[in-house]
Amino acid sequence: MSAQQPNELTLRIAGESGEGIITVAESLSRVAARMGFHLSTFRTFPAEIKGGACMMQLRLSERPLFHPGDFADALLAFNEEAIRANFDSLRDGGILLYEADIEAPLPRREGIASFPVPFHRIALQEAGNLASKNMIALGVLAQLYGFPIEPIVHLLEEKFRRRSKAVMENNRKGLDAGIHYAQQHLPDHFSGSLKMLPGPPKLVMTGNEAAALGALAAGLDCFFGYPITPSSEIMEYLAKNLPRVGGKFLQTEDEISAIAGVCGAAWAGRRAMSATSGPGLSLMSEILGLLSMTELPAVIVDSQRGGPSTGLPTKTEQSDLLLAVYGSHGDAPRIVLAPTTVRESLEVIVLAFALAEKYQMPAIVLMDQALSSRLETVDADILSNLPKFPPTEERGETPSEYKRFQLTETGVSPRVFPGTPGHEHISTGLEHNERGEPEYDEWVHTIMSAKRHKKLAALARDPLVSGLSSMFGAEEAEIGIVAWGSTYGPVTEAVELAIAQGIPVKALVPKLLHPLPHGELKAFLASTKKLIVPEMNFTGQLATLLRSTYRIPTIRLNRVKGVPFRAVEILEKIQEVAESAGRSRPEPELLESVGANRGES
Amino acid sequence: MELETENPTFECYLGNLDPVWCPGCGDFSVLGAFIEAARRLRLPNHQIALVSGIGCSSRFPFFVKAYGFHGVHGRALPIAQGVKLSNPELTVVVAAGDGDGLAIGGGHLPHVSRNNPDITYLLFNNSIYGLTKGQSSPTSPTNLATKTAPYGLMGESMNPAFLALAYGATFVARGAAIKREHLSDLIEQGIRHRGFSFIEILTSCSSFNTKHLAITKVLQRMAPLETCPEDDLEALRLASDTRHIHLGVFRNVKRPTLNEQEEHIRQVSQKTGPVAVGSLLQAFA
Repeated sequence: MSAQQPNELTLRIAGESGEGIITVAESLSRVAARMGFHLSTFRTFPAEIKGGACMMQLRLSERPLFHPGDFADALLAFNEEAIRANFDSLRDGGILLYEADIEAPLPRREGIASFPVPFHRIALQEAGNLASKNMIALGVLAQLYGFPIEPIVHLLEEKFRRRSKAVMENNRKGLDAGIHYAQQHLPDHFSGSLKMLPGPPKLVMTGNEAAALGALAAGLDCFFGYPITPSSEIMEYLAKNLPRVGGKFLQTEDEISAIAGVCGAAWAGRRAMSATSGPGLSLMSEILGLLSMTELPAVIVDSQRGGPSTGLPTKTEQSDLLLAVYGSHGDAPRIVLAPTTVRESLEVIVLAFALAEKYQMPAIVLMDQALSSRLETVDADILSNLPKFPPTEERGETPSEYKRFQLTETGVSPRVFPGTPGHEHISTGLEHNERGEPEYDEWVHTIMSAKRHKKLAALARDPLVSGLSSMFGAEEAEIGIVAWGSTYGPVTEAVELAIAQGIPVKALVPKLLHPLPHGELKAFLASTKKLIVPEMNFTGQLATLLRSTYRIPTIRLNRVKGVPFRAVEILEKIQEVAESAGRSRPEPELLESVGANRGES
Repeated sequence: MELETENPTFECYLGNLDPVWCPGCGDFSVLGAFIEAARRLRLPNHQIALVSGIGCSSRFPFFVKAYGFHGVHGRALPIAQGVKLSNPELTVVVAAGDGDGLAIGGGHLPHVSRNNPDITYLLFNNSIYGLTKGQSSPTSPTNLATKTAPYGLMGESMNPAFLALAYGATFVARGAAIKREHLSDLIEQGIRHRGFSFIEILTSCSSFNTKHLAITKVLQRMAPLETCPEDDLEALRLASDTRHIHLGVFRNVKRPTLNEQEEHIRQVSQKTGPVAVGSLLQAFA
C-alpha cells in the first residue's frame, strides 16, 4: 500500500447519487472491518432525492481512527463534476481513476497520476447493464489495493440475498470485469495485498446506529419522534428494532408532540427518548422547560446540521450548543452531553439515560451530521462495561407524608410513578411547593429554583461523570485546545502532527458540556497559556461558554463549511499560535475572527 | 379494574386543594360530573391519571384525588397519549379548554383521533379565554366582542364535536355543564369506551362571557339526542345544526386502540420471539 501513513489507506469515491457509490465504499469498509482494520468514513448527501453529487470517503488503518482523513490516496470519480469537486482532496502522490467517457479537460496537478477507466463501456459490454458500473469500480479498487475477493463476494451475496439471482450474477460479472481490467491496464505497484490483522473482527456502524443501539442497551421503553435529517436513521432503526426487544415506538405529528409523548411516558415512569435535529430541538424547547420544572428524565438526541432555519440540512455543524444548554424560557436546568466517536455515541446515550434518571431532568445528546452518518469500526464488546443505572423509583416517606418535590441535600426528590396506591400527587409546570401544589411567593420560587439547580452541582461531583473528558498531547505544553463532539477526531491528529513538528500542544475534549466538568477544565486551563477552541460554528459557542464561565481569553477557530475540520486546518492554527508566542495579548476579538471566516487571516 | 373500596363516596375523589374557579363557573359542575362518573365506575384513585394544559379548566387535576399532570399550553393530548401508550393500566383523562385544545393545541386532535389511544378527552367549551381575562377563542361567535376583538371577530367559529367526528374519533359526544347528570353519564360512557373519547362540554364563564352563553337562551336551544346516529353523515348533520344544540353521543364505534395496535406491531416484529439487544450486533459484522 502506498499511503500517507504506513498501513493506512484513504479512498474517496464520488459521482451522482443513485450510481451505487455508497455500496462500493460500504462494501470495502465492511470487508476491511472483517479483516480487523480500524475504519472511519465520511459521506455527503445531496439534499435532493434522486441525483445530485454524492461522495463517500473511507480510511482504514491498523490503529484506531476517529477521523476520515484529510486527503485521499485515490479518488474514483464517475463524472466530471465529481472530479472537480474532489480533486483537491487528493494527497500529493495520489491517483485519480475516472470515467474514460469524460471529454472535458481535467484538472491537473504535479504528482497526481490519472487513469481513465471505461466503467461505462465495460458495464455495457461485459456485464450487460449500466447498473453494474459500481461493481466494476469495486473490482478495480479491490484489485488495485489488494482487498481479498472472497469476502467481498460473500458480503454482496448477503446484501443482495433478497433480490433475484440475476442481480447477483450481474454483480459478480461486474466485479470480475473490474478486477480483470485493473490487472490488464492499471499499474500494480499500489497493491501489496491487505493482510488479515490479528484480533477479532470489528463491527462497523454509523453514529446514528450506535446511538439507537445505546438506547436499546439502556433499556429504552418508548420512543416518540418525527423524521428529520440527519437523525432519521435513529428513528428508523428503533422503528424496526424497538418492538423486537419489547419497547414501544410512535411516529408523532411533529416534534412538539414527540417530546410531549416523551414527557408523558417519563411521568408514567417509563424510559423515553426522542431524536431530532436543530429545527426539532427549537420546537421542543418549551417542553424541555416543563421537564426541568416537573423534574422528569428524558433523553433527546440532536444530530446537528447547518443552521439557522432549514440551513444546510444534509451538512454538518456544531451550532446548537447554546440552544441545548439554554434553550427554554426561565432557568431550566438540563444535562448536555456530546459523544466524540461512533463507539461513544452508544456509551454516551446510556450515560444520558442514567444521569437523566438519577437527577430527574432532561439530557440532550449533541451529535452532528458527520458523526451520525459516518461508518466507524467498533469492538465487538461494545455492549459490555456500560454505565450502571441507579434505581429509578423511590417511595420515600409513608404515603401521607410523601412529597414529590421534597427538599433534599442533593436536590433530588423521591419519585413515585402514577399507579402507586396512596401516593397520589400532582406535577405542574407552575412553580410549586414540595407537595407539588402551586405556590409562587418569592421564597418558594427562590428555594425551588435553587433546589432544581442544586442537582447540577451534585451531578458534576458524580463518579458517573468523573474522568469522562479525553485528555491527550504533551502534558507540559502551554498551548491547549478545548474541543467538543466529532471535532475530537481531527484534533487528535492535529495534536500528533504538531508534536511531531516539535510544537508542544495538549487537548481536552469534555463529553459533558452542561454542567461543564469544572475540575478537569480548571486544572487544564490553569496549566495553559494559550487556548484554541476549534468549532464547526460561526460564533464560537463553546468558546463563549468557556470565556463566560472561567473568564479566560480564547483563540477561536471557526469553520462553517458543512464538512468536518481537516487536521491540517487545526495544525495551521497551532503553528500560528506557537509563532505568535512572543505577543502579549494573542486573543482575537470577534472582528478578527470574522476576518478568518472570510479567509482573510 | 380492582376496587379500592366497595362503594367509594364522592369525597373519596376530592383532592386536597379547593377549586380556584370564579363563583358561578360551569367548571364546578363538570368536576362534580366527573367525580360522579368515577364513583360509579369505582375507579381506584391511584389508577386515574389526569392530564391538562393551561387555562381555567386545566386546573381540573388539582381538585381530584388522583395522579395529575398539569403541563404547558396546548399539549395535554400528546402528553396523555405518551402516558397511555407507556402504561396502559392507567385510566387517562384529559381536561382542556377551547383555546388550549382547539387553538394552540388544535394540531394534535386529528392525530390523536386517528391513533385512537384509550383516553377520555373533556373539552371544556366556554367560547372565551377566561384565565387571561376575556380574549377571543376559536369557538367565540363572530358577533362576540372581546378584548382582542373589540370591533368583532375575524374567522368562523369552530364546532368541536363536528371536528372530532370529521377527524375520526371513535367516541364523540356533547354535554353541558348545566346538565350535570347527563354529562356524568356521558363521561362514564366515554371512560368505558375503549378508544379515544371526545366529549365537548358546553360550559359557562361567569366572569368574561356571560352574554353569549346566557343560560336561559342556551337552555332553550338544547335538544337531547334520543339515540346515537347510525351513520356519519347524520352525526355530522346533527353536530353542525345551528338551530339546536344537540346533546348526547354522536358516534360510538370500535377500532383498535393505540395500545392494541402497538401490541400487534410488537407481535409481528417478534415472529420468532423477542430479541436480545446483544443479538442485534450481528447485523454490524
